[in-house]
Amino acid sequence: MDAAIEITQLQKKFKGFELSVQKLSVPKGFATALIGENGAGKTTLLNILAGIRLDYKGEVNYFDEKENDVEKVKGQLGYTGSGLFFLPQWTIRQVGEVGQLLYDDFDVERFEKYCSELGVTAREKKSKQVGDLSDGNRMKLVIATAFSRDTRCLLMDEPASPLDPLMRDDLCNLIRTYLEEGDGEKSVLFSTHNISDMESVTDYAIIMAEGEVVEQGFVEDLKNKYILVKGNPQDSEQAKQILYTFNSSSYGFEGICLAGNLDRLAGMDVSMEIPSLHQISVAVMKHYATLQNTR
Amino acid sequence: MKKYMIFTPVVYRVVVMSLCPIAVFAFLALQLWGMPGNLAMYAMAILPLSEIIGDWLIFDGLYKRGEKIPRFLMASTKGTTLIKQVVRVGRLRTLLYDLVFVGLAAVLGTWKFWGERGFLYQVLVHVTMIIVLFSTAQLGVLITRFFQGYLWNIVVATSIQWLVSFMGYWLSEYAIWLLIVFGIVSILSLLIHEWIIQKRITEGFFDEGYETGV
Amino acid sequence: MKILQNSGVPIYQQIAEQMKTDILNGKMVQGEYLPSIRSLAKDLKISVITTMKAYEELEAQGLVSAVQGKGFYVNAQDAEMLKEQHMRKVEEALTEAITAAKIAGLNEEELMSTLKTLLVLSQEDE
Repeated sequence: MDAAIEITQLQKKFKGFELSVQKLSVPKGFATALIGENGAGKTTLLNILAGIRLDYKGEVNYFDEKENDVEKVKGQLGYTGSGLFFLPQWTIRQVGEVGQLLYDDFDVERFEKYCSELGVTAREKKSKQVGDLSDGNRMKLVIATAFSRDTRCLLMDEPASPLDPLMRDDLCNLIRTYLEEGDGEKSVLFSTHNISDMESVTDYAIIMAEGEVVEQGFVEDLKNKYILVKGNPQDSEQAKQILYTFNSSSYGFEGICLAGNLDRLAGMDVSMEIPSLHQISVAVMKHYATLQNTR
Repeated sequence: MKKYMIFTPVVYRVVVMSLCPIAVFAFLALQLWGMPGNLAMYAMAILPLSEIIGDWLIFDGLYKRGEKIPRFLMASTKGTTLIKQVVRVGRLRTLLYDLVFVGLAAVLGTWKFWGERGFLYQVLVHVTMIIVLFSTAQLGVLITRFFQGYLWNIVVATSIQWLVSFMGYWLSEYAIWLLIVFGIVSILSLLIHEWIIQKRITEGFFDEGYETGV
Repeated sequence: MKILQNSGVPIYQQIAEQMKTDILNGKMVQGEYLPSIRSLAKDLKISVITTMKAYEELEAQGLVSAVQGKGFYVNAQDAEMLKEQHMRKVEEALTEAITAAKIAGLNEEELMSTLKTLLVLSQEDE
């Protein structure tokens, strides 16, 4: 697997939080989802990858050239995020103008096209100030700036959160088109605390909790590793010992079972299904939390 | 430079960069009708006033502690140099404006009086006016950029305006002293401006509470 | 191509099967390139890894081959295997016809004459 970004021994400790990633590869040519609760470390990690934060130990290598100086690759990275992105007194038009100052390949026509396609300028004039935009429109503006350039990797911090469901769908389409244009050379890494919205575009998943990576893999492989099992109440006690995560009610039990443990369920009347990525993430995070509690 | 113009909102361009100077200019033109030079300071005090308040429109709270530089700039290679350049150009523009308007005032307003006290004296007075105007504007901007919102802007700006107008009273007699004092103020505030913006930029790349000794 | 999201059959499998059908019944010819994994993902609004796995499945079954940098193309299909596939189809279809005939109350002679008539008709079409 070719990597767009390779992370080695990354560590960052501040304000009682510690980010610690031994080895992580973001695969090239695919859309990777960074999944985790708020505070799991997704934003911290993305900030480091985008070159917005320099306070860390460890190494980050970009693209085939294994470039580890982020300043050199910033021109090829497309970062989007919340937080102070533009000065609030700027107008939409000024954002386009500043974009041209910042990047040689910033295409104003594309910018305007995306602004109207995404709906930012559909109802607002170009003289509207950034600070007066809604959160959703501001995010769309940020996304528009990222797509108005020629980049090799998009780094998006919770792009779906401020968007309404219809726009989330459009975002997924934008990502697919981006990947298609790149034909294997362009990659996308986005973070989310709710993977359901972006599941249909996710190829690779990285699940984080408390500053650590607790699971990662291609979605299809993860779906082979984690099986959704449902069974009858009378088998609950026995199943509880075998399953990775477990829920029971008077109607029966349900949980995730590791593929390797499936044969231990032989003899029980159970149904097996492919879990959604959302279900897998929840299971993994729950399991991790349980482990933490028993420590 | 063009980059600076992009940073300035339309309102700023109209009011600060055009109207105020024009108003001052018009006022100074009245000097043709025999107003003494030091009273001109009252009029020209509008320049730093408009600079300080107007700065709010571009760089509101830029130097405030914890106020991060916009990520759009941080995420690009040119971003940090861009903001530094724009701040510098702004400073330069202020200086040029002061130069031009005082220069014009010198020519138009006090032309008649030039003979009275000698050429060098007039030059001295006018250079001092430039320095006073520039340094007070810079000082005011320095202070107000630490605060977000327009309240402090107005407070500081009007105080500065009073100060400048008051200087006019002393201008004729103590020009040399004013020149020295405000010259030093200019240089100091310039150095502080540079230091602060660089500090804020660097701080932007580090999270608070980062422990280096992991 | 029709993909069912919640059918219990993994999406990649659905894609593989539908493409397999197209290949075996000649809709996709030997040497023809399949759409790129990313453009197919875009059109079907699914993830790239899903289309990739579908294609890998087809490759594992010997129906397509991968070319570095160009994509997947359709293999020459084994004539024998094709024949066998179609033979099975004939058997299935005929079994169905026999069952239906029984329900309709046709006897063996009537069924045979229906078959002969249809054969003549299809030959005329050619």
